[in-house]
Amino acid sequence: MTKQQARRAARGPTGGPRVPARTRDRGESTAASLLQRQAGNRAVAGLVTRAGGPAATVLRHLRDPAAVSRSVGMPVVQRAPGPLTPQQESGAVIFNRGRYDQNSVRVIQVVVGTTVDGDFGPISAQAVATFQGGQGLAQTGLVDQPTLDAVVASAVSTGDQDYAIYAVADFFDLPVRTDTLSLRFDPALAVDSANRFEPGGLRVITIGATAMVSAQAIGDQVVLQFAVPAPAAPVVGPRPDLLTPPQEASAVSFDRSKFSDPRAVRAIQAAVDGGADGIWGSDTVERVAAFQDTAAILVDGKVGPVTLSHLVSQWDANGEQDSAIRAIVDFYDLNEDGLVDVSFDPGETANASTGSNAIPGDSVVRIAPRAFAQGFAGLVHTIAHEFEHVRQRRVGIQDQPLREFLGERIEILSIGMDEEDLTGFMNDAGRAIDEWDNVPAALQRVNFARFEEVRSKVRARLAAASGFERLPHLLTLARYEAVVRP
Amino acid sequence: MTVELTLVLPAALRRSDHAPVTVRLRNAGDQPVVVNTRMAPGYATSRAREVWLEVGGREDVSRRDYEREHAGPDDFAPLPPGAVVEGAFVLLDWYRFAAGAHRVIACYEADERGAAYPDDVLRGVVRSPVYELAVR
Repeated sequence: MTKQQARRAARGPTGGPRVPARTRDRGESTAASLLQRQAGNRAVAGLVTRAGGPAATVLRHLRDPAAVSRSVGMPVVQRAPGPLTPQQESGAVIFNRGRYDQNSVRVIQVVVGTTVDGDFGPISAQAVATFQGGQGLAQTGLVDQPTLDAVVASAVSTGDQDYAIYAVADFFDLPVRTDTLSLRFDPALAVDSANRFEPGGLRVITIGATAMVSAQAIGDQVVLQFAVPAPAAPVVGPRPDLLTPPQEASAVSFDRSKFSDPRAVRAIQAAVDGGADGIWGSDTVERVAAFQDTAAILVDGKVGPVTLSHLVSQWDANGEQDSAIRAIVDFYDLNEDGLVDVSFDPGETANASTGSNAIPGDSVVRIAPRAFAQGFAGLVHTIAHEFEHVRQRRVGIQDQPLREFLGERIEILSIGMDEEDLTGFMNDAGRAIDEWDNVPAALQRVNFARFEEVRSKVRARLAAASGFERLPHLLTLARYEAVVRP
Repeated sequence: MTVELTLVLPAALRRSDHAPVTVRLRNAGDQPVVVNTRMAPGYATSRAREVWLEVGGREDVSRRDYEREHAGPDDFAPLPPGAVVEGAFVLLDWYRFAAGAHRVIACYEADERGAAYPDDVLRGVVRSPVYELAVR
């Protein structure tokens, strides 16, 4: 079993719905969070907010954090200074951990001015209470709706609308990763919100500035857009019969292992004229086979890189780029931890971009038409490059030249991805050495092994090229050869 | 070769505004000047950009990573005397500001290392006057 297969297996049944990142990455490491996990997020949240209910045991634990420690064998949550009582502090930790994932917690932590680590602990609870006091709100430490309104107002005031929308969707537990490819702020939108559909009933929802007035207003707009019915699906034609039963089974197994996000599956099903139910089966792989037959590529029902590249071309030609992005992210198993939103942005002038520094650890990725114009391999590399930035922001790599060097490194090493042609590869190599030259010496020392990996790959790729192909790149190679460990 | 760089931005700006600003390069001389017409935004220390801002004496207040190709031959063109080339970008997508008064200078570079510029291109960094920007 490869590492990738192991990670997929750890997620749940093969081919089943992937647990959304926002529930997978909740920061939970203390006894209180274990208790919350056992009792259930909403149940505990309800108990805390209503200060009553049937789970007396839970409430006893809230009043006595040491009891939590005794019952689950974990250390007591350390108290932090601030206006909350120990009971309030514990309750706030439990409530907020149940309500918010790490991305949202980071937004809250930035707004309330405490350490940003994505883990809502006692210090965060006390910081929220202090923030509430400054806002004239009851000092409970609970980021309830009135407090979230204040968080939203603060995030909007600093231009961080995408992050506010994310936190609101998280608070209301809106299923934004069920059939929504992107949920984002659009400053140019003249109405409160809008909805665009890509095939398979997949939504691209945008929220306008006029809706950014409160958590409720934002949530209402998302719900409103969820209520817009998807266009009627085309009538599905008769099932093709191009594969043998063993071939069908093999294809289903392969495709399940490669695509576990139902949105990606639905996009593919719609692209091959099938019923978009998000589940791999023999009908879908037969339709993939028919698509392959039409495209004059290997007919096996398996959506590998070649078939995916043809699908991406079709999506791009039809203006369905968000489906292409989702399928690539799923196929290449790009890590979405820390990702707030990824979408196609026709107004982006670069190939792609990743922001922002405003909420450390959180990222919004925009993929531009230029990225699609590079062709399939270049597009995959660009998306992988941006997701490397997502990782860097999550782990706190600050130096911009280093970030760009490491982004180019992902493209140059091309692990698990098709390689770009020599011109594209050497463009990456040229940018990488430019960036490396600007990395501070101390960071160059720490990252020199990574530079060596890149240099070896550049040498190998040029060594495999003809003399004629190599000639324009000798200067770049010389720059690599001239680098010594600082 | 004489060129003037100006920045068109509002006198006051809310930090919630995702409004575009315009950087304008004018040939103030009497001979054509070969310039990079792409006018793509970035930062002083980043690559593949023609335009960036210096804010309050700091050269780099970046808030996003971006991937862009270096300017190619098609991006360069002669700018006739009196003619203008300009580019717009959403200021707050690229730069963060604290509330308060800021002194902003726009910078332009046609001959960045890595760009496929012609030999007779405008050389060096061109700076605009200092602009006062009030951010709320």
